[in-house]
Amino acid sequence: MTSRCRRTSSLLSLSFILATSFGCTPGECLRVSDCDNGLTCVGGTCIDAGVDARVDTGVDAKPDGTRDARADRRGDGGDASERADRAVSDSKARGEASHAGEARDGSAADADHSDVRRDGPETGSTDAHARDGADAHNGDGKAADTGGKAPDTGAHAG
Amino acid sequence: MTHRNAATLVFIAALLAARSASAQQYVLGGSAELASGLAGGGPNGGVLERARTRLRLAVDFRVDEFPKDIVAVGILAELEPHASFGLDVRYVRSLSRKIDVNAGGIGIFFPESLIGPSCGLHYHLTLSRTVDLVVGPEIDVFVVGSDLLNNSIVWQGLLQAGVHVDL
Repeated sequence: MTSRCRRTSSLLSLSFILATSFGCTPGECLRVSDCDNGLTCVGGTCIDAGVDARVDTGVDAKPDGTRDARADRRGDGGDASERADRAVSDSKARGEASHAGEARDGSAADADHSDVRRDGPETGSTDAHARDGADAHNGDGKAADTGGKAPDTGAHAG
Repeated sequence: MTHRNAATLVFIAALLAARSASAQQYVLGGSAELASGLAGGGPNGGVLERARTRLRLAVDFRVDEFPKDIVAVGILAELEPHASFGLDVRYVRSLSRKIDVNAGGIGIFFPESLIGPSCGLHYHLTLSRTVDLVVGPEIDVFVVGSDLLNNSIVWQGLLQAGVHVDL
């Protein structure tokens, strides 16, 4: 939670009480326009998704055109925003990764969040992940549709 | 001229004659209100924050023969922490001299869009024959618009206070 978020919560004790009572997160953004230019609202917090966004998702896309869908056996998919927050803080993004598209087909949920890990201009490898453990629920450890695609990661190598 | 056209003309003439023969008058009112409160929703429905402070300038119309049925149109300006502008249209039903309820639609159109239903209540504190202080709650639910995250829903509960004048 950012300092601004904490400040808002403390100023509005009713908001804090309601938030904690109902398991809500006191946030600083609900709407796209709540965040300043260049920031994206994720889980109630404005983050710099353009530079430092990575979400653990479960479907990899390789730059050579082949794509691997690996099953995330967590099954329940977890809480998307929570995982997004964790992933952001765990970001290993290097260089400038612009935007990851939506995971399709094999994914149970759309990736609403940029998720590009870039290893550098030499390899140009990009990983795009779909959230929520795409199709892990079939239990065989493989994505139901191994063509689980992240068709356009939007990240450019080099 | 066909029978249908003739019947249409007679119907229109009857409407115009009835209006001109009646003593109906439109009564106008104006109001200015400030509002703020709580907003929630979001992609997982689990975020709560302070709603934007909003200024609403509105005009309302009613026919003197049906003073309890009122139509109001308002201009909305969300002032802080971020600015935006929009409109609302409401049907207002006066329950008594002091209380009215309303329902309608609300839309924010700049810089991003938000559209949804709205309802509220006003309590009138009479200051003079034509001027009232008004206070009351309002609930808005935004279900469509570019300002929503991933097709989520955002709601806000506001407490508004202001002044209403019969013009």
